Amino acid sequence: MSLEQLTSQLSKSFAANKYAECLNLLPQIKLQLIEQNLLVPSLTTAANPSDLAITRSILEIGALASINSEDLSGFSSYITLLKPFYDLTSLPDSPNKNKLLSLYLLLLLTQGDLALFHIELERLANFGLSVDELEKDQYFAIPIKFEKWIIDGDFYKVYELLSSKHSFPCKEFNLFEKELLDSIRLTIATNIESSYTTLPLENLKLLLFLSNLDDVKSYIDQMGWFVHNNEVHFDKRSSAIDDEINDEKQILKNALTYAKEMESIV
Amino acid sequence: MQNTEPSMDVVDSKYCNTATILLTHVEIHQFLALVEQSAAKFDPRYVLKVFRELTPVRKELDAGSLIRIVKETFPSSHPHYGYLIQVLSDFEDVEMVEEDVTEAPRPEIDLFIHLLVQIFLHDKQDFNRLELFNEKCIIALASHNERTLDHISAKMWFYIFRSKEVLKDTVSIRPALQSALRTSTLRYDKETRAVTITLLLRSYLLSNDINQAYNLVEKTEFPEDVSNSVVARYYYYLARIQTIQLDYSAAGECAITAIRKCPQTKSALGFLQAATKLNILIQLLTGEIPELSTFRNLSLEKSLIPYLAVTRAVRLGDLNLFSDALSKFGSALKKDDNYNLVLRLRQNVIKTGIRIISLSYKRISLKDICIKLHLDSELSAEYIVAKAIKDGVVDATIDHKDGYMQSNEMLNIYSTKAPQEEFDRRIKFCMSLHNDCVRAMRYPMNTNRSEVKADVDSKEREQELLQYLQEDDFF
Repeated sequence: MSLEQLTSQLSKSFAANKYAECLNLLPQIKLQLIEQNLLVPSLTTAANPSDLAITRSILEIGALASINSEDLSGFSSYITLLKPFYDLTSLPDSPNKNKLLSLYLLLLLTQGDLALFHIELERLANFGLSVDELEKDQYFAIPIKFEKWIIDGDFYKVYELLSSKHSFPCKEFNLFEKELLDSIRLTIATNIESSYTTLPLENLKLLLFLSNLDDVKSYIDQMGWFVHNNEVHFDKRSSAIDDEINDEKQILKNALTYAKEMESIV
Repeated sequence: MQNTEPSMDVVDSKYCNTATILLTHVEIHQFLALVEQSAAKFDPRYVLKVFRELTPVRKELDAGSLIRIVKETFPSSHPHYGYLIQVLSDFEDVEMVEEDVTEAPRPEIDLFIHLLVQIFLHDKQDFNRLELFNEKCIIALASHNERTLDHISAKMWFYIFRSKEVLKDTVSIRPALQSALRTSTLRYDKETRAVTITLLLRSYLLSNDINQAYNLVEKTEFPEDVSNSVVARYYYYLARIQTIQLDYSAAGECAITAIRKCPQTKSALGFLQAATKLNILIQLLTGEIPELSTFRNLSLEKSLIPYLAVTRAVRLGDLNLFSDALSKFGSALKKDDNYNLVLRLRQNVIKTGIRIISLSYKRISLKDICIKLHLDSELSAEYIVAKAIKDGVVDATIDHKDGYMQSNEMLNIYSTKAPQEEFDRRIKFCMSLHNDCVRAMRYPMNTNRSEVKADVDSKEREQELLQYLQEDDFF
């Protein structure tokens, strides 16, 4: 099949939300794009701008299709391919750009890769937007707010926004709900472990944003906590003796090192 | 070689119109002589001396004297002669006097004159011409391969990049810089290598390609013992990259190295300001409060005012004060490219707030915390306090039933391991200092030899001693 046929077929199946079909078509299209030297724009390729725009929209479909079928690594690789296209000044801005890039930021947040998150955030300054302006953008506002709340420890706000499903400007954001909740739940659990001595089950359920007591129980088993009288106990002092033994060994080791060094000086 | 070191009377008799031209002309000739000497003796110190003395002279560089120098150095058949004269003739008419130069100049002289022309065009703010001329320079640079050129070519690359930066096009120069980096690495040309690495980093940082910059740092090895100013730059860029990647402790070390290596002259003041600003932010981000004396430095005081305001807010743990500082100095911080980093300080403000509360109250309700820290809800406060406890900001427990935070008893520090660890750290530092000193000591050649002699004597003595002992054994 020629590139035109494939492309029109791709946009048809994408419009019909048949994401699996899209993902089947894409490898062939990518091969053809490579042959035409369109997949990676560079300073030297003097390709026709409209060709590049079409390539860009194909890649955008690829990104959206893979995220809708929950193929996160596929999504990241499409974003990597798309980035040089978004840097091109010769093309008019794509309407999907902010949406895709903010989805990518959200993905980085879910994976806990804050370093990369900030690197990507800095790159956005290339599009002439400062952080304040980004926060006003309906798409970028979401990952930026989330990051701020997570760093502050204000997890309740994250939960509030995630659970009010209709507030997102597009449906793809909801796909991250489960992953993001799981990742903040783990952070909350470790926080709770070190800051409470006891906690009633009912309160733990609320704090972890769990819906029923069974979930709470399985989570408690997973974390290895101890339940007594409908209260969870977080025991912190079990390792004190071990510490002391290690401590003595350490002192001994240090003293020996000092002796050795002294000897080499004298 | 008579062409590079003409006697004074030739200069005097021929074309001296004004005293300043004479002065520059003579000085340039002195420079050329030094460059030549450096090449002949393989000693880069002479070139460095030229660079030091160039600073006061560069203001007086003029097209007339440069043209004369070119004519006195290059034979008119030399491939570089044509364009050198041409670029300068736009500024001053060329007299049709031909010098009878037959010998081509040494490569060092050749490139040094290119560098002078670059500096001249740069100071004339004529960046479009400089841009055109730089293309020729890149070709000229590639045509030579002498280790005595290292310092000169490093400087030339700096000006090549500089004009690109002024014209806001640092992307197109990258391939040339990368190939220069490759060549200089192969040739063990440390100066050019160091300069091209820093220029590439700058180019990446200007276009916010932090990832690319980080990859470059990972994949290349920055040469040791090169000019301090280049090292300072390198460490500053490194500190920036690491700060953005949230690696504050490594970034802090780099920022301090950059400040220490920074030349103590007036011309480096801008760099010192930028590095100090970055260092203040890194300190704040790691939870330290910079010393007040940092902000009182006379030459920096004015530029640091926004940072002083931010530091105050962090120190007092007051979110309102923090947002005041942001709105008041936001534009100044954005200009420094530090706004994003300052935004990250929000959580530090909260942390300090919690710490202050925990120090002053033994037990405080979550509601009061919420009011004191200007938070939205009690539930938020509970999560935030839990996180602070986990991060080790405060030592406390939360009682959920009655909704309060209880600070734990202050431990006597001497009952913990902390003093032992601190003692260990200091001893290790002293030991490594001692070892480094021993290793860094130099032993003069001849004393060393006499020691060897003494060693022979002592061996003989030992032999005798051994004999005595053996004889002793018989008894």
